[in-house]
Amino acid sequence: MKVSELLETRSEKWQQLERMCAQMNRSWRQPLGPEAVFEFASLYRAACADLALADAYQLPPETVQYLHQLVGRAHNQLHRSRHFEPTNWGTRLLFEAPRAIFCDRSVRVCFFLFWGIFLSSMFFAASPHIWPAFAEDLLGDETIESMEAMYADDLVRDADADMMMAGFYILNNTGIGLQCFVLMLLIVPGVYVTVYNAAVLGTVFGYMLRSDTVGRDHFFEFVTAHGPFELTAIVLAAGAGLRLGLSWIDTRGMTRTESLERAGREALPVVGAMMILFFLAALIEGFLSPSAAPYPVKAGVAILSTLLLIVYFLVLGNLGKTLRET
Amino acid sequence: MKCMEQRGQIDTSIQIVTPENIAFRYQLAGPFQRLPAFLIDFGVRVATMLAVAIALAILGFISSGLAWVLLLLAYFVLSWFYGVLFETYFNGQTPGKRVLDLRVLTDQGRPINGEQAVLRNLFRLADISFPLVSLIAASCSRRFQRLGDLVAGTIVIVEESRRLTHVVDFSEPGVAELVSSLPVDMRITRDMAHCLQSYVNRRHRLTSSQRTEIAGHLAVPLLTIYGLPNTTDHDMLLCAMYCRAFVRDRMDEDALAARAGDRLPAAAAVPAEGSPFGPAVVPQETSPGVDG
Repeated sequence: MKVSELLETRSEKWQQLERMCAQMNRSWRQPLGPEAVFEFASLYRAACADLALADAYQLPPETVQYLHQLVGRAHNQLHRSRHFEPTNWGTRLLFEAPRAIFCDRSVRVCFFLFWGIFLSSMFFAASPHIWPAFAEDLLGDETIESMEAMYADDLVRDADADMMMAGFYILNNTGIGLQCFVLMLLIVPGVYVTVYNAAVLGTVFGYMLRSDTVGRDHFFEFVTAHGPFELTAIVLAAGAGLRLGLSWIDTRGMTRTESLERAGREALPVVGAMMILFFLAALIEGFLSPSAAPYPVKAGVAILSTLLLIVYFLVLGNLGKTLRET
Repeated sequence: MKCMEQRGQIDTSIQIVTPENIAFRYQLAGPFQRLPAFLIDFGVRVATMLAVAIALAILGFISSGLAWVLLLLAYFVLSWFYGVLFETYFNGQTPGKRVLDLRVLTDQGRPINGEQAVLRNLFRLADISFPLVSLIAASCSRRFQRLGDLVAGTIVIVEESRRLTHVVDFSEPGVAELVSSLPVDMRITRDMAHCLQSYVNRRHRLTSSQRTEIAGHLAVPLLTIYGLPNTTDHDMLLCAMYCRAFVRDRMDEDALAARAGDRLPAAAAVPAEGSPFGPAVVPQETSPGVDG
């Protein structure tokens, strides 16, 4: 059979497959009925067979290219992107994530990096003798003034402002966490973001510790409740990112891309845990922290959340570790 | 292993073997296809944000706090999860990619899953913050993978939709006659077929003198092999061979049958005289296969 006849007999089926591909690409959900799916599959198999025999049929190069594209498009309609699988999210968040975090050396490095910078800048900002103008040098006078103005008045806001601020905290703080995580891939910018945030937060805390600061009591009343979740979440974000950044330096015998892909897959539950922590922190910060609730309630929430974190990281993480070892 | 496969790759296509055991090729999308897609997506995001803001401004008098929360959440979702949601639920395409016929696949050519979509879209921030690093990564990876693609193990391909082209049909009158004067059992090898295809697909861009010159390389030796007159046009000869190889089968057979019908009585009538002329007459010994 000559090529022209072959094309005559086949082209109709190819064009039908083409039309079905376009139709499937147009609509979102499963767009074809069962018979049509059956027909699509058989048309696709036929096109595959034609492509495989293209060389034997001596099809013209243009036709072969056409078939490559046709089979490629049909392949992408037949094999569709898989969606999320929320059924195993529980296991991943409750068991895999704490285990990964507990065993991860880069999380420890980031923990010490963050808290080291945080505590030392807090110390410098609070102490009036060693470096008296530390806070002013680091933050700038304007920032300090606006900060003092923010906490000078009573904390209580109306409900509308609470909601708006909760939204803002989710946006801003989770954004900072994700930024830490992502930029750690290139290590240097990630370390810069982490150190910068640790230094600014530490300085604010230290400055507010000074006895002469306006709004001192309000500030500590405000930050107590959501502090544990928020500061832990930043450390987690930086740690998960650092793990990724190191994975393409220390590849453990894999190729660089394989090592990176694997680290990316393993980092996801940690990122999920981090985002949940930021979300909880934002809710507390939006609704409880500025509320008129007495201080012991806020301190109680802080203690409770710290206990929760300890259970999550140490108990669940350690449990996972021993389970894996046995 | 993956790297070994790529070492031979010199163009921007990537070969995929399907479960049906068929190997087909994809064209990888380069930065100049992906950047416009990104800009379109950016525009869509801005437009959506504006629409949400206007809608909430209209509803805002009910509870401005709730309106603000929704607005901020919409901004958060759009800025971090726009690509994730589209690529997961629209089979690897965002609106911008759809306009430009791009699609995200895994580096094995399979469809992506939600987690890969999350990773490659989160790490877009790294690509935007350090475009130079991203470009270097993309050019080192041979599959144009930006940093986010490297982490997620994904590639972006172009789904071109070319039109099906049919076999070239010649309107020149000389070709049909020449076809019938070619040796009947002329075998055309695979390489020769390829060569003829390439020539015929390009010849409409050449002037007649260029055609004669280019076709001459092949036509001159073939003319002597087939015993055709030297005055035969080189271009015509290649076209006739193309027709013989790809187009005229039935017509050819009809013509042959007709000619055979003509010849048989003549041959029966004068068997002794044989057939000294008639280039189309086909003695077995002068029908060489053409070796490419």
